[in-house]
Amino acid sequence: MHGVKRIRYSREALEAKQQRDKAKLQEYLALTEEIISRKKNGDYSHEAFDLTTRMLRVNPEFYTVWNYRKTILVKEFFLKSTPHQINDVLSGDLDMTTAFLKQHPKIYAIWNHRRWCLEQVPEGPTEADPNGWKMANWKKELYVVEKMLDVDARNFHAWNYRRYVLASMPVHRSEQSELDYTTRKIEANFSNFSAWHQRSKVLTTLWETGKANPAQNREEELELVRNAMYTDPFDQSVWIYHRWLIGEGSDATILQAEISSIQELLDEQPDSKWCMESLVHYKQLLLRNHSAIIGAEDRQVVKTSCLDLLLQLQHVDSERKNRYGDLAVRIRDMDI
Amino acid sequence: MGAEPKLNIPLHVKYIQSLGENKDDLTYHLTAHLRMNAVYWGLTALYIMKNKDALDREEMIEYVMSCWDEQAGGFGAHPDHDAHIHATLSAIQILVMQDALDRVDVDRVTKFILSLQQPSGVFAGDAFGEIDTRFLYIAVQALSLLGRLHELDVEKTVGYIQRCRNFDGGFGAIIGAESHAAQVFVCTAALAILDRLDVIDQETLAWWLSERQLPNGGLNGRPEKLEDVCYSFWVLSALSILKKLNWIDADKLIKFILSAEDLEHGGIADRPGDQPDVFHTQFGVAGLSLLGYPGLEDIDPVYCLPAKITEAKGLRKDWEALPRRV
Amino acid sequence: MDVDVVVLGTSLSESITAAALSKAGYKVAHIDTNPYYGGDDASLSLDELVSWADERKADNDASSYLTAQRKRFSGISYFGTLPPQSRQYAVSLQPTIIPSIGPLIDSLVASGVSRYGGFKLLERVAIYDSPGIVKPVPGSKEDVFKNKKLSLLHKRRLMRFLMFAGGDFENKPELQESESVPFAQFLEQKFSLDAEAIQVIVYALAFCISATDRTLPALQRIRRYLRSTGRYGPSSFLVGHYGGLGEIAQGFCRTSAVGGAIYILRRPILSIASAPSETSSRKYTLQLEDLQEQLQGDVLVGASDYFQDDNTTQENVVGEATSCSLARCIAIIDRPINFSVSSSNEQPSETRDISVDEDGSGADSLEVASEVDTATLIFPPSSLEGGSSTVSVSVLITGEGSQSAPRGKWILYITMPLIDEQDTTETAEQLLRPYLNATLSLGSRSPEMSAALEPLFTLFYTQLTPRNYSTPGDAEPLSSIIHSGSYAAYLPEIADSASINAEKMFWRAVKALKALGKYPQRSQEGEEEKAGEVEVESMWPPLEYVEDNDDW
Repeated sequence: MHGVKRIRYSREALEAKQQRDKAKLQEYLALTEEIISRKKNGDYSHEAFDLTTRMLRVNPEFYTVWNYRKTILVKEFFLKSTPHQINDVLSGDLDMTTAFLKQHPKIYAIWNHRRWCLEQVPEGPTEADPNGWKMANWKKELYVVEKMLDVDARNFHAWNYRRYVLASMPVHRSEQSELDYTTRKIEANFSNFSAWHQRSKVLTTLWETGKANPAQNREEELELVRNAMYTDPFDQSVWIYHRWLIGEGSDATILQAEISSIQELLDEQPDSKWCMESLVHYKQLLLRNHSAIIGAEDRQVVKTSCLDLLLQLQHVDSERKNRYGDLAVRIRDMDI
Repeated sequence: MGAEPKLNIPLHVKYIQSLGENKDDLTYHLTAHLRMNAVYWGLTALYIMKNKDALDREEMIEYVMSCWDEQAGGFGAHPDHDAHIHATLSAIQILVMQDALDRVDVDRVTKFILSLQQPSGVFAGDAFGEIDTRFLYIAVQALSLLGRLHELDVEKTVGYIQRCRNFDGGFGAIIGAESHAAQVFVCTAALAILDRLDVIDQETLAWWLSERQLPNGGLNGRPEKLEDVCYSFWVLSALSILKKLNWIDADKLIKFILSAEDLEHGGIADRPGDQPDVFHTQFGVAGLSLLGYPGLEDIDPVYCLPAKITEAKGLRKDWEALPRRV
Repeated sequence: MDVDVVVLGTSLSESITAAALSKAGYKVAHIDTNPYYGGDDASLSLDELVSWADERKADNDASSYLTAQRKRFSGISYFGTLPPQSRQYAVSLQPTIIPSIGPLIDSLVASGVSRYGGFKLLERVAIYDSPGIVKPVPGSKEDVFKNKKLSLLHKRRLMRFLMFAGGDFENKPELQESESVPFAQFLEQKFSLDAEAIQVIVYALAFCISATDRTLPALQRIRRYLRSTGRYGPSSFLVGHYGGLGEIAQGFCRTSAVGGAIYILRRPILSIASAPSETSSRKYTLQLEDLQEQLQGDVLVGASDYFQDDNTTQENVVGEATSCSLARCIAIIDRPINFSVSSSNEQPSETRDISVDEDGSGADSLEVASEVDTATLIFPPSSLEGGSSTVSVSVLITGEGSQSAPRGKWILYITMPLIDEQDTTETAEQLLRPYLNATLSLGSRSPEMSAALEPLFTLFYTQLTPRNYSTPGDAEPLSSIIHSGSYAAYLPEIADSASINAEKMFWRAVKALKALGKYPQRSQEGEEEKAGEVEVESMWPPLEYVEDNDDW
């Protein structure tokens, strides 16, 4: 019952609703009974198939009925049909579930059935073009998933499914175009951590396959993130992604540049929890990984500034004050 | 707690008891595919509220057994529903709580569960193949409760979890997926059962989890999302396993959970003013238990079962909840 | 004919009032001398527009209404010839953009009139920069984030202001003792913003008319516009289909006709007498041209131009204090306007690889071009050589997207508020030519047509506000004649001020009728002929319960 408001009804309204519901209930129970009994009897007829359609339209979460539907297709329909007919019936199921998703974008069973359908698409339409149907279906699938993400850019079903579709297409789309997609999503709303997450995955692939230059990308990413930080320093999606860009902080130059940039932002926005929290984290990395570079005297300065920031954080961000307390103890005990 | 709002245990007990009496209500039948889970949620919530006997034991056991899918060798969510790994775990958990595990054909269930492991190491929910780290956790816990963990390929299983880890320390539903508090719970708890918490970047994950708390005290499941009572359990259980439960503000969260109580009909909702359900009631109560709310039984965050039960079975892992308040 | 209320004029505020009175159960007659609905807010086809202009330019004998109109619409001149398909244009006499949250949208929804009309989202708001170039208006978090011209520091400051303006600022320390200072001064002192950002905020976010506009009302406008984004799409503003307010006014008229109101158009009013006739006990008797039967009513609600005598100063006039006279230009063009920003800042978005299926669905996301169909351009004071140094001038562009022009044609509306004495000595054409030329400099130059854009047809005129007798505060005199006064002058406030005026007129009419012992003939639940003293409880009775459809 996520997000369903409690509503008060008058007694009359409730009674009227109960009357309507009673009729629906009878119909529903009769339909359930008929489907279950046909299923028990191994009935894989067209009629049985149509009954599952009726049921799923009413209750798309009835996984047993989805299973029965797939069984009918596998055990009867696929055996007796041409590839053309198989492709048609699967397209029909994809269209049907597209309509379901518009109403119920977060029901696992619907996404799952689509996945199953796509994996059953036969080769065709011709021997010369064995991937024609598949490619057409996958492309359409990517379009559907983009529409779903237009409606709710954080729907993790849709994002997971998107990655699955991209990986399954017979002809792969370039990682660059997926990177551009995340750019558009981030420009539309940079609170969308799902898009930043996807970006981190795509960039990793680009770097691992040697298709992009990590040093150059990192610079561009830092610039993008800096714009987001200054626009809204209170949005945690951006700071989490920034942490990925810095990673273990092995590059002292980048680390120091980012520390001073965040310090400037903190000067302009002195109540920014994320500025303080990130400064502590990156300064800690500096002490841990580059203590040789900064010299003994500055090490004490950095340490003291971390402790100061942690003290402020305990007030500014009191929900997590115990964490800041724990961090302070650790930094105080740091052997530098 | 002074004049603070209190958990209305008698009302919630009544609410849970009433759930089985709505058979004239269409919604009751539309949610039949969740019935076995709902019974588990209800029973666990009652147990934590020290009202374990509020539902009839025999009737419950008979119901569970009537959901046995003889063909598949697992439990369905309702009589005549297909066997599914989720319903199967709930059935086992119910029978464990009712001390009736002897009713189960352990060999067949073990075989059913193990048959769902994929070459990658993850588990499918049923024969039709939806995969998710939730199902992996379910398999691990079920095998543990059945005493058959030694039959699991642990390396392969842990390997899959490892590949689901993201830079923020969290875990997603499948490889490549965004970190999500519910998936963090299942992966962390599975690793706890398998004694492989070394796979986790604990510092980073505890940071990410502590950032789930919003200014209103509630917890969200991902960055920049809304709060929801059910995350009280997902986030808190993972933090208890990492022994960092004090990294969030317990008082504020308690207040938030209590604000989502329906004080007219009983039950707890996802957030204040919404319709309550047994799922959020259970996870709200479980969250309160981990936070040391007075008058509740301890819940084991690894198994999401009463700690008494897992201790009696010698399954208790090394976790820390907040001390019980009086 | 015998009614409770006679409504004179069918402008938006009068039409809303008529619809509400009719729905409440009063007997209403709604009269307009013009052959079209909408009065001063009408949407006209191009040939109707020319007749409208000719009638007001002429100095022949005329009805008292037309005489009053001629005083108010002056300096009319037009150029060019009417393009073909002139009936396919819907030109608005009251161009405006409508915030997605506010009194007008509320009335449309509550009255059910929303089902009669459609809207187009305003695509862009920009500020004029130099010939051919505009400046983008960063009015949201996303705009600020994407803007390549703002420095990091100014992004932070601008965002801090936007967060402030979008929130509950009334008791914030920044506002203390600053509510009435000029808005620009407030922005500089309290948010350390630079001149460029201040110009954007004052004129393109708050739509201020001049530098003297005060802080609090400007902030309140911005807040409402910020909160309007996302209700129907990324823009805060809507533009009504088929010419906007005139079409909406007609929707309200349709609703009041359904509620039983009598409609009489294109009949000049010969006389309004306050003595009751022999056949009726009603307060007023109206004689209409070519209509034998007299019209009797107890309360008169209407546009000032319908009441020729000047002894109405004691009467109720419902209007805005911020209204002023306007110089207007309407131009028809046949090439699109481009909102190009200078090349040094925003690059057009990266080449996009859009996944679409063969039929090209989803191609709409390909639109990166700077051509606009429905957009607003702002000229702040002193932004144009030869233009005003004191007031901001707005341009509204509408095209096929709002169903107001055929494909490939656009209507430009240029509006200049006249708050300076010296402005009024110049004609609308003299005042607005520079603005028209600057706007035309943004027109596309296709390769084969390297010539600058020239309008097909142009009309200039000056519109004086209706007589505005501001009645002090709540001390409304009880009267049976209620004048509909003027609207707010801010481009996005016009429609809402019409709606606010209507609500005031409605309640004053209800009060005046009650004082005469007149109550609605039907209860608000729609039960027939329920006698007795039914109190009117809300302006719009509840709509019939609509059951949501589920899948059965």
